[in-house]
Amino acid sequence: MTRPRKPSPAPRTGPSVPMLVLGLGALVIAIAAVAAVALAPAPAAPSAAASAPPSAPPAASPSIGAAAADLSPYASTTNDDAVGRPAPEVDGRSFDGTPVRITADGRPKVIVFLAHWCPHCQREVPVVQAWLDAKGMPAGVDLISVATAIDPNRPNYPPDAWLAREHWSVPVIVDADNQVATRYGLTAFPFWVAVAGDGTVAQRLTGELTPEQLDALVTSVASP
Amino acid sequence: MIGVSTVSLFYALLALVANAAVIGSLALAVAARRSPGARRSLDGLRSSAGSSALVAAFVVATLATIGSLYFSEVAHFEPCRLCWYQRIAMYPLVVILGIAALGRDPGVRRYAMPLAGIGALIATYHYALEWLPWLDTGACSATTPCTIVWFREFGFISLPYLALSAFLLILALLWLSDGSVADRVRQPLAQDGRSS
Repeated sequence: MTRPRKPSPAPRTGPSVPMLVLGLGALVIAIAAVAAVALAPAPAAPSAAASAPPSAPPAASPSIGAAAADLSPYASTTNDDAVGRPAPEVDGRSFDGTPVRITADGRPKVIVFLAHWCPHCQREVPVVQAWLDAKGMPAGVDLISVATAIDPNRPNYPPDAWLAREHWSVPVIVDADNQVATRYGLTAFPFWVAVAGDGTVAQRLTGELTPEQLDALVTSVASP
Repeated sequence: MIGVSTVSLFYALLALVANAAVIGSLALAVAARRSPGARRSLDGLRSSAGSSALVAAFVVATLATIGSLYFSEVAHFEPCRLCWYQRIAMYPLVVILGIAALGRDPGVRRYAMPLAGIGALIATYHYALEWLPWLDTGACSATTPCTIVWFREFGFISLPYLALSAFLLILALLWLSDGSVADRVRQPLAQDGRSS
């Protein structure tokens, strides 16, 4: 088996060897630069912290009642087995430490879970705020938001600055360790849970809602 | 200490250079169809580019791969599903184009161009998704959705834009590499009676 390429007149073109050396040189420099950055002592943590401090979320995680079992991870609005189950009770705090609670107090509720880095949440928050400004919640129904999946390495951090920019008027529970999201079976953002007056889950859904869909969701749990 | 913002700015500038090179190549290709002078310039460029274009394509793939690894491993930007598909298209190009550049093998175009083309298509969709998040399911997955925009240098250069720029430049360089080198390699093969 002969290999024809080697013995044939080498297809040499002038600049290729210098170019190759140049290319390899650039490669070595680039690798050295990345290595220098990667191996430098503890670079990531201080820089992340430096961008964060004025408004880091409160250290205390919300406490969640043990009476209600975890809701199953959300898959679909149809045949959702969480519907009819008791919604886990949450004793949480807002960014400024104000207590915010989800309890079976007889009032229907809509809970929206938001992630600061999620573009769908970023688009939904002004829609909800405009809807609230225009109509407001029906009497007797509460709207509560949960800021979860908080990550200083991700875009649009910190969440309190983002929500303040959007003039978000909804009470916020800071879900520092994502336990509230886990207990409610969150699998995508934004995540909506409608809770009936008796404290059971009426509906769960994900995604951006239009003002009309918000109307429908809120009226579905409002007292008849 | 080089920060993430410096690196992203550096790559954004590289992307602009890459864009200029691709647009220049395209303009030359269009002009070559109309003017004999431009045709001669293009032929001259392609014959002189030869295997240098392969080396350049290898360097582009290598820089893109290093950038990709920097952003995931050093900056801790978690790659989403579409990022992984683009990596699948880009990373092998370093090896394929590197070997081809060393062996001055223009036949690599047949293997590298489909990879770069597929990568460019995925990067285009990913970039569109960043501006039009409703193109996907309408919700962010709880882990790492592809709609996350980690940075936008100059207001429009994001990670998939960098990938798209690299894929397009690799395609342009491979197209340019099909010059006299290819002919010179084919001729000895034909003389050996092994070429069709």
